[in-house]
Amino acid sequence: MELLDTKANPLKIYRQAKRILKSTSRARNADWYKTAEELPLQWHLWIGAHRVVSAIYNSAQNQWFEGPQIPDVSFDIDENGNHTGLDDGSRNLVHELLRQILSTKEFGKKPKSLGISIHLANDFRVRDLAPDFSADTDFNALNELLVSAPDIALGDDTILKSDGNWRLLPLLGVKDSDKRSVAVQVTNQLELVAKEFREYGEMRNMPIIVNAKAAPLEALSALPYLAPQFGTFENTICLLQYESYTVIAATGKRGELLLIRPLFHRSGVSLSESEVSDVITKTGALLDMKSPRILYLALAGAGGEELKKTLSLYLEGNSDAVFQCASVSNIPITQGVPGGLLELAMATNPELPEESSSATILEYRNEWGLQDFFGPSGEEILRMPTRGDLQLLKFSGYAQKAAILCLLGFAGWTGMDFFTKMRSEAWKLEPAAAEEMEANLVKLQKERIEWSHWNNLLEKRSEGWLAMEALLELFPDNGGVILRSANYRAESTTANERSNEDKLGVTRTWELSGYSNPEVATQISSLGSRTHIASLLNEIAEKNKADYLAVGEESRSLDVTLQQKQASMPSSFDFPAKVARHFRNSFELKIDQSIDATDELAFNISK
Amino acid sequence: MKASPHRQAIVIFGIIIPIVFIGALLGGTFYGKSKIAHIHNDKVAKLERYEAAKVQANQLEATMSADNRREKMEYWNSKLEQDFIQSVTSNLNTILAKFEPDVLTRTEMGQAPGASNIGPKTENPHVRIQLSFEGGYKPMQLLLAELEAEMPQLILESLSIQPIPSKSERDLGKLRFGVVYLGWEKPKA
Repeated sequence: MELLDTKANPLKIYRQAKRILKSTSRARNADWYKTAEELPLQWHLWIGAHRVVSAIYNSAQNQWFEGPQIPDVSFDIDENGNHTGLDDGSRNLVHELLRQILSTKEFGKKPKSLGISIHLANDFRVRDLAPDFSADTDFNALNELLVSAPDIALGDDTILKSDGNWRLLPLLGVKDSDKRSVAVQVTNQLELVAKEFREYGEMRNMPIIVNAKAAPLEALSALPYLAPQFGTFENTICLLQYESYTVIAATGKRGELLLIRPLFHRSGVSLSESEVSDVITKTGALLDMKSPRILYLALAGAGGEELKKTLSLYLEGNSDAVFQCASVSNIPITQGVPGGLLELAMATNPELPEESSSATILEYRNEWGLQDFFGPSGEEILRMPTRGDLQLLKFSGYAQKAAILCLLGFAGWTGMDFFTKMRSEAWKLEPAAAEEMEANLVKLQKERIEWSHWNNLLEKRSEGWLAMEALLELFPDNGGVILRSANYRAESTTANERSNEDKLGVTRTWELSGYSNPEVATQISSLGSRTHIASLLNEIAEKNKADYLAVGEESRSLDVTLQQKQASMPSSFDFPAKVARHFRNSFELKIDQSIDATDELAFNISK
Repeated sequence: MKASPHRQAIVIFGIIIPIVFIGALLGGTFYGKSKIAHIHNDKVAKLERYEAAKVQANQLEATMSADNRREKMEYWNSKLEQDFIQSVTSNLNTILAKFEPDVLTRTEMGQAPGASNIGPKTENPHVRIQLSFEGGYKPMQLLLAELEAEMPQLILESLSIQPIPSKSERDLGKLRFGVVYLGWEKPKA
């Protein structure tokens, strides 16, 4: 799968992650991110110099099966003569091989993933790092440099990537030394095949995890299983014999790894007796080891007796040397493992013997001894999103969808609310309607006030024609009365005389004087009666529809004063003596009719 | 160990930007909803004002429409807007024209002396006029009735009636009338 560089545009990286999430099972299937030996079905390929052992291991059933052989493959070659990948025929063969493994139920249930573990025992080289890096203790950074730029890390421009793949091997436990790590190289002949394995898995969207490990490093990390009686492996020289080379590793007084290097077999399948004796002696002398313990192991088929024979020359000169010679195919953990191979046996993850307590060896076991030599560099690993990244992306996708749903729901609710409000009576009201109605109300209130004002002012309270009509009612024609003068006036009662200061009462006064004929005006005395006058005024009011003249209510009062005396009316042209002499009585009548401030006819004082 | 570029990209484009974008949309929608609610509340308040004003206006309209009040007001206004003295003069001339001079005649017309007892207390603009007549009782009553019908703004402040001593048959029954009216005027704008 072509992946973007880590420095690419973040948006492109995000799109790439989305594409990977959508098109692969990486987020769902954790097997994509496991090592080959963590998967339930494992295909182990042990590559020796002269033979290949292929075995399939079902970890769930702890059962080994004979595995298929890798077909002979040929490569596409570019213009520089470099291998660029398998040719079509070889690719088809590899794909068919994987298809058969994955489709059969011969190895247990139909697998959902496949771990391919390649144990490289055919070649092993060790080199010192360039002096600039030799004492560096940032092993991870140094390892990354070695993977991506071995020529720089080794200080050698002639290094070619096609020669093999390099990884760092820290000399753990070593202190106060200029050399804190060395570089280890294995052949990369099968790297294109491993790449094809991976691409098949990506094509089928099924995790096919390929790890390639250096067999000697696996053996180094498995020493506690092989010779538990060596404890923490202090002051020990280990000889690990493979088909075409023997790896010598020496540890110091604290079990620290001081030296490791391959010794290639010049004749036969092992070192000669003299070579073994010589290398142990020289190594002991080099590392100032006076009586090193010797652990001589055959990891590719030889027996313990053969090893002991090879060691015999050394033992002749060092008869008190502590040593152990053994073939790994004879130890308990390799029993039942195809080929009796230690590297395959370690895939079963056996329990560590209690006698061993070497922290250094354990660290090799947990990290440096199981490095993937065909694996991508740290930079290349970063190009692929982790499962956590993809799950975060998946979660963010769900969260986005949920948020969009919430947003749509909220927007819909808002829209409905808006629609409902738009249909309400309030929304349909013209913007200026309230102001217009209020203006109309103000106008009507003003009109009402004006009307009340003028209605109050123009209310009939004092009319000339009715004042005269009242006189006629009081003194009808031929009633035996001749009026000398008649005065009428209307006055207001002062406001402070009344409780209601907003209102103003009215008093009407009639002052009448004249002469009466006692023979005819027999009822004149009754004009001094308040009751009589009140009755007369009420009649006048009713007859003339002039309510203001009526009396009787609490708010209205009436005072009447009548004075009579004998007096002769002087004769005149109008009333000759023969007429005047009959009018022997004079009278003065005063009528005060008042309405107070509480009466409905009272004036409003306020404007 | 370097930070995963994917994690960074996912956090930016998968979490932060969507949160900002959706947050902005939510904020915009919420703002819109609040705005609509605010507008609606204003409209509801306006509707309540409209309804309240309408109820009061309807009541006032009913009040003003009852008993031909508006027509009365128009009538009053038409009378009040005329110049008081001119109106009195004109009306008196019209009425007196109906009588022979020896039946009823106006002898005096002018501003009444002194202050009114009613007008100043109301604070409404007013004018007082004094009139004198000579003639019969009934013609005078008719004159006053017609004048007061034509000029509803008149209030009779005083009326005095005195007989006029006759010197001949022709003068028999004649009376002297003194009239003081208060007339209401419209406040000047």
